[in-house]
This record gives sequence, structure tokens and C-alpha cells, in this order.
Amino acid sequence: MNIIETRRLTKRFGNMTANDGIDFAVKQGEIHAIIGENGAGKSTLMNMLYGLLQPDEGEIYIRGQKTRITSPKVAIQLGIGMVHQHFKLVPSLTIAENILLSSEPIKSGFIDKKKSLEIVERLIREFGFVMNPKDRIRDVSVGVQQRVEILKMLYRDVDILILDEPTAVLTPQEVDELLVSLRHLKNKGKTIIIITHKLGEVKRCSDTVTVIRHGKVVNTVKTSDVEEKDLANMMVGRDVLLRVEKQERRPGNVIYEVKGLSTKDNRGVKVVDNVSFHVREGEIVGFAGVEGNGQSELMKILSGLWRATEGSVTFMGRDITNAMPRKLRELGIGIVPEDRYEHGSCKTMTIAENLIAGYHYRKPFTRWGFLRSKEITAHAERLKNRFDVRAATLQQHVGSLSGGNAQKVIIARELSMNPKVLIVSQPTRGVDIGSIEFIHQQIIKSRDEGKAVILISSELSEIMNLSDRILVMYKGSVIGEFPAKDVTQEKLGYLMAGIP
Amino acid sequence: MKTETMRWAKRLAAPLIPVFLAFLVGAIFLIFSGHNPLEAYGALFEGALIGKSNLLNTLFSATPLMFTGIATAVAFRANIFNMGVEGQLYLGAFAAAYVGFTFHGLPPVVHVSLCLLAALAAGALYALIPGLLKGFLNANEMVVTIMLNYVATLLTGYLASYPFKAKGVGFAATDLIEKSAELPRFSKMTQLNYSFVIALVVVLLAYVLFKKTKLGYEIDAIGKNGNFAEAVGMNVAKKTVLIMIISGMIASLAGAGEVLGVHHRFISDFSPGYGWDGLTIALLGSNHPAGVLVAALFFGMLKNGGSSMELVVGVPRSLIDVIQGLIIFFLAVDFIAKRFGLFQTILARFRNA
Repeated sequence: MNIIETRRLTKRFGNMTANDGIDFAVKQGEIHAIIGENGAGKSTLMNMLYGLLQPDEGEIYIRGQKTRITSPKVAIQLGIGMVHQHFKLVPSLTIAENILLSSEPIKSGFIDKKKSLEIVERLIREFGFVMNPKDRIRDVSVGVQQRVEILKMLYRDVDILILDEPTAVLTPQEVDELLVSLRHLKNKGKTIIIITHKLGEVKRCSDTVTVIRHGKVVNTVKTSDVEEKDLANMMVGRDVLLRVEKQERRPGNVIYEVKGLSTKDNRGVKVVDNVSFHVREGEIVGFAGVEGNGQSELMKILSGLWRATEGSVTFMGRDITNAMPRKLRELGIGIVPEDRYEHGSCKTMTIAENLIAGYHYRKPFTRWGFLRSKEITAHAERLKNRFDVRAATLQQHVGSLSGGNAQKVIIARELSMNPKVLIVSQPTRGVDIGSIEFIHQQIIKSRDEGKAVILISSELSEIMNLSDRILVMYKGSVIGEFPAKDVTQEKLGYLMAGIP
Repeated sequence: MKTETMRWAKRLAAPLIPVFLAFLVGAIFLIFSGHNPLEAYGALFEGALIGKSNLLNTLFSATPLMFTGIATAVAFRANIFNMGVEGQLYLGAFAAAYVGFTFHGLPPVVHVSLCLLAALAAGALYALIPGLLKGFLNANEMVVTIMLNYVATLLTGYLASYPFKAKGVGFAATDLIEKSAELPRFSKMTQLNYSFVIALVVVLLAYVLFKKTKLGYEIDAIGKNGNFAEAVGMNVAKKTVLIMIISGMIASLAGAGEVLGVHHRFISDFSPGYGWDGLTIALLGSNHPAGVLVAALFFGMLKNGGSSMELVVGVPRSLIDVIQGLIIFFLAVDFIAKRFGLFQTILARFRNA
């Protein structure tokens, strides 16, 4: 029996369709994994099931009943609970107090402390967790905090549990413990939906997998029927939409070299692990991989936003390891960051202002510390035409542009200073087809002009189309390197799933 | 162009609504205490605006607020919450007074300039502490600056009570500054002095800074999206320190202006909260120099008109504090509404019920 079913569920944000006619069903008592890249629409779908968002079109059926879930309160009444990626706990209260918060047992107007402990202890025993209900949240590990969140939901008699990227914040040991707990909950008759983009975990714990891509369901399959590489292929898409014209070209000298680069995140996990590669003039080196395998962190190190703990980066014979972003730009390294609105541009500044960011202190934009608006406008006008930025005026905020045009602003800015190296991450995520084509042409053109290009993308077709050489990242390491013309999609799919 | 006009109308309406609501609620207070609000407000505006000396005294009351408003706005624009304007003002005031009574026989222009420079240096150094802590150690600047206010008030209070206490004066104050260090008044009938001119220059410089300079552009970028600013290579830590210093320097001029132009000595606890008023004024003026100027003049008007309201219709001048408090309250409501979608939440709640 389907405990949850959606029909043609659609959600739009402005002119972006986050969920496009989603048909999706979860069976009672199964562990159902939902996988997809960042921005594929997984969280939007779950937020609609949990009442945080309202669908624009389509219907939700819970236990066969058509339902409108107007708020999380309604969702919990229906037996749907969600554990968010970022916990909503009170650090200074104990585990028991957090679990019971807002529905404590009351005796003559006061909270019955003794009974509280009894209830929580029984709950912990029943679901086979290990923790001391008297510990304060701030003193326990992230893994325990997560289980407290789960118990909070179970105490409210939830029998469908949605977990949003539950393993993103956990150490490998904690992940193991979580997966054991989930199986235990399943045996107790609970239905579990887990959102993730880690294929190994999907394979280890789930019964069914639904793959979402660009807001649409690609497929729903039984986990036992598929290999990890199949899932990787479905996630990044086998459909090659666009073919870019690209001439053979003989690359020049090595001008950018990375040796043994490593870094740890705040959990102490090595997220970039001994990465080495080099790029030649007139060459595009592409990084393929399922998201969350260290690409973002590598990108941040290369753009001067995160420190490498080991290894070196050399540019034209100069050591630029852990150099500041300004230094990188001064040397001639253009950077198009992964997050378009967080690092790439400022939504509430105008197009003209965004087009000089990072180069604003240079001539001709600034003289004696004063901005020269005439030069800045002329520069913006030139780039707007050259990079086909579709905007009514240059005084428009970048936030009011479409994703594709905002990205063109960033690429225009970075290419306008004619860099020797161009580092590009996820250049076409959430971008319309027309802009994708244009951006791809610009990247190829940069290569043909002799620039060294580093391309990081989770869009496999993009990597295969543009790159001269492809490196595959898995769990923070580069586990394979090929000339682009010698490699098949299948081969890459295996590697992206960690199978050599 | 219609949307452009709409945007301007919205920007102008945003500060006017809290002010209007504050006066409205103030009127309710007046009615309950048995006064005629129209009469009271009439006396307030008449006392502030009608007649040359009233008008000049309004400008006089507005002068320190122009400094503190701009000082706050400079930091706010970069999303740095400098709540330490009050403390920086005290140190600036004391430094100006110290140079004022220590040096003798200097030509007025030189002496005044030296006093102002000393104040600027003191303000800069004092703002350097929270600046460094925020920029390089990511300490919360709000907490640090608020705490440092107490340090500044008590330190200058101590200095004026013991080591530098003037002989034969019944309150904690330093010696009078030399005549050569005084900022002269415009006329006998008003306390308005040349610090008003300095304040106007500061407002103008702030406008140029925000609109025309590289630093202004960087302040904007840091305030609107700090991560972006860092990613494109503006060294946010260093810029944070610099912005704090500029803010502190402007704050110090408020103190120096009061010492050199009004009291002619440093008096312990002389500020009735100019620094705190600066916060409201910066918010009311949307951190825009012109907005800050208008808001400061408006607050000056309230302060100046309040005393004649008391004299003429017998409404205690603490009503002005009530109105100022209400303005802050309504500004905060507006702020929360914008930031957290307060009204949408309330509406949604009603719809679901």
C-alpha cells in the first residue's frame, strides 16, 4: 500500500520550476531514498510533504486520502515528521527536555520531571538508541543530536520520517550507527524517506530509490535491481542535450600545477585528499564526480576561500598556495564560483557594479581612490553586448536577472581582465538552454585563446563535451584521469561510484 | 519610469510612517494626561521652527546628532554594528579638552585643529579595538562596543574627577580650555557654533565617500554580501578595521564639537545619549547621508521644541523621550516585518485558522 503518493505535483519560484509534475509514491514500511544533485528539487518536494511549502499544482495523497498539508503541525497530525539538515534543538536543555518540548507531562500546573524522564527512557529503549536523557544537547555529539531529533518526531507518534541529508554532518562511524538505527526503525514498522546524494548509503540502507533531476522524476527503482553506477548515471543525466563545436588543439606549456593538496573540514574529515593535477595553456581539464566528493572544497581552496592543510599550488612557477583571492586575480586567475549569488555576485548591487567587482580598484575604474562612473558604465555597456546579457538597464540589480544572465555577468567580469587561468565551477547549473550554449562557447573560446581552464561540474555531459582531459573525484581524491576522447560514459559512471 | 517614482515614494514613506505612528500614539498619551495634543504639538513645532533664535537653536541641538548619525551609518552600511559611538564620543571629547587646556598661546586655527586631531586620534584608536576583534577574531562587535562604552564613560569620568579635576568646581569636570581652542558662536542669541559647519562638511564627505569612492563601493559590497566581497578579493577583515576607525573618528568629532563649542571643558557624563540617538537617526535616514541629515535635524527639532512645549502648555519634556522611544519601536517593527516576513506570517496564521 502506498502511504504517500503525489500526482503531478508542481512548485514554481518565480520563473524557475523547482518541481515539475512529480509523480511519486512511497510504500508503507520501506526505506525510500530520494537522490539528485543540489538544486534538483529534492528538498522542495519534501518541504511540500511537510507543509513548509504549498504546491502550485497537483495533489498529495496520504494513506489513500487526498490531503492538503498547510503547515508542519498538520503534517505531524498526519503522522509525517521531518528531521532537517540543521537541527532545531535547544543547546542548554537536556535531551529529555528537548524531546518533550511543548508537550511535557504536567502535574498540578508544573512539569512532571520524574514522569518526563520515564517517558524518554522508555522511548529510547523502545527504539534501541543509546543515550542519557539527562545530558545537555551542547555536550553530546552531532550524531546523538540527530537521534534526539528523530526521537522528538517519534514521541509525537509520527510513522513517516523524512530525513534531509542526514549524513552530511556525520563522521563515517556516526553514519554507520545512523543506518543501523534506520533499519531498526523500519523493523518497528516506520516508513522512512531519506534525501541524499551519497550513493553508497543509498545502496546500504534503502529498499527503493527515486532519482530526481531538474525538478522531474527520472526513475523509481528497487535498490536491489541497480548498481551504484546506474544511479550515478541517472543522477547526472545521460541525455546529451547539446553538442559543442570544438576543434582539436595542441595544448601548450603547463602553467598551473597542484601537488598533494589536502584539507579537512570542521569534523576533522579529510574532504580533499592528496589531489594532484596540472593544466596546460589552451587546455580544459574537467573534474567529474557525484556532488559532495570534495569538488566544492577543492574549488574553495583554489579560489582562496579555504585553506589547504597540505600540498601546493603553483602558477607559472610561483607558489600560490593559500594565496588571498585578490592576489590570485592580480596574477591573472579568473574565478567563476560554484555559488552564483553567494560568492559570484551580489544580488542587491547593479549589473554595472557587479561587473567591476574584484577589479574595481584598478585603472580605469578608480583614480586616486575615486570611482569613475563614466568608465564603469562604458565597461559595463561593452561587456553587456559582448556577453549577451539580457537586461533592460545596467542599473538593474543582478538579483532581478534570470540565472543564465546573472551567470553571464560573472563570466563576463572574470574574462574581461583576460586571465591566463580560468577556474569555473558549475557554470550552467539552473541555467536555461540558450545561456548554457553561450557559456559553453565562451569556455571553449577561452581555451582556443590559450587560456588554461579548470572546469568543475556535476553535469557529466558538460564535462564530457568541453574537457580535453577528465579527472574523476571520489571521496576527496582523484581516482582516475583520461583524455576526454578515450573515455566512455559507462567508464566514468563506474569511477564516480567509486568502482575502479 | 513609473516604477522608479514608486521606488522613491516607498523609500520616502518608509521612515515617515514610524514617525507618524509615534506622534499618533504620543497624542493618545497626551489625551489621557488631560492635554490637547494639537496644542502640545503646535507648541513643539512653534518652539522649534518659528523665529530666528528658535530655528538656530534647533540646528544647535541637531549638531552632535549629525555626527553620531553619520558615524553609525558608515558602519551600518557595511553591516558592522558599531554601538560604541557613545564611548568613542567621550574619548574624543576628553582628548579635545586635554589639548584645549594644556597648550597655551597658539593661534586659534592651529589650536582648534590640534584639538580636533587629538579627538580624531582618540576616536580612531578606541574604535580600533572592536575593529581588530571583529575583523580578525570574528568577535561580536555589538557586544564589544557596548561594553567599551562603559569603559569610556567611566575612564573619562575618573580622569575628570581626579587627575584633571578643575579646582574650585563643584562637579566632575576639567579646567576650561583656552580661548584659542574654542569654536566660536555665530551670534549672541544662540549657542549654535562652528561645529555645525564641521558637521555639515562631514555629511557632505560621507556622501562623497558612499557615492564616489572606491572605499564606498567596498563598504556597499561588504554590507550587502560579505561572502561575495571576500570572494572577489576585498580583504574584508582589513576593511572592517578601517570602517570601524572611520566611524570612531566621526563619533569623536561629536564629542569634540560639544567640548570646543558648548561646554568649553570636559564634563563627566555630559552626553544625554547622543551616540544612542545616532543609531535611531541612522536607521530613520536609511544610512543615507541626506536621510541622516534630515533625521538629525528632525531630532534636533524635537529636543529644542520640547522645552518650549513644557513652558507653554505644561507638557513635560519627557514626552519627547516617549516619542523617540516609539519611533525606535515602530522602526524595529518595520525592520522585523521586512527581515522575517512578519505580516505574511500573521496573515497566513489567520487564513489557516
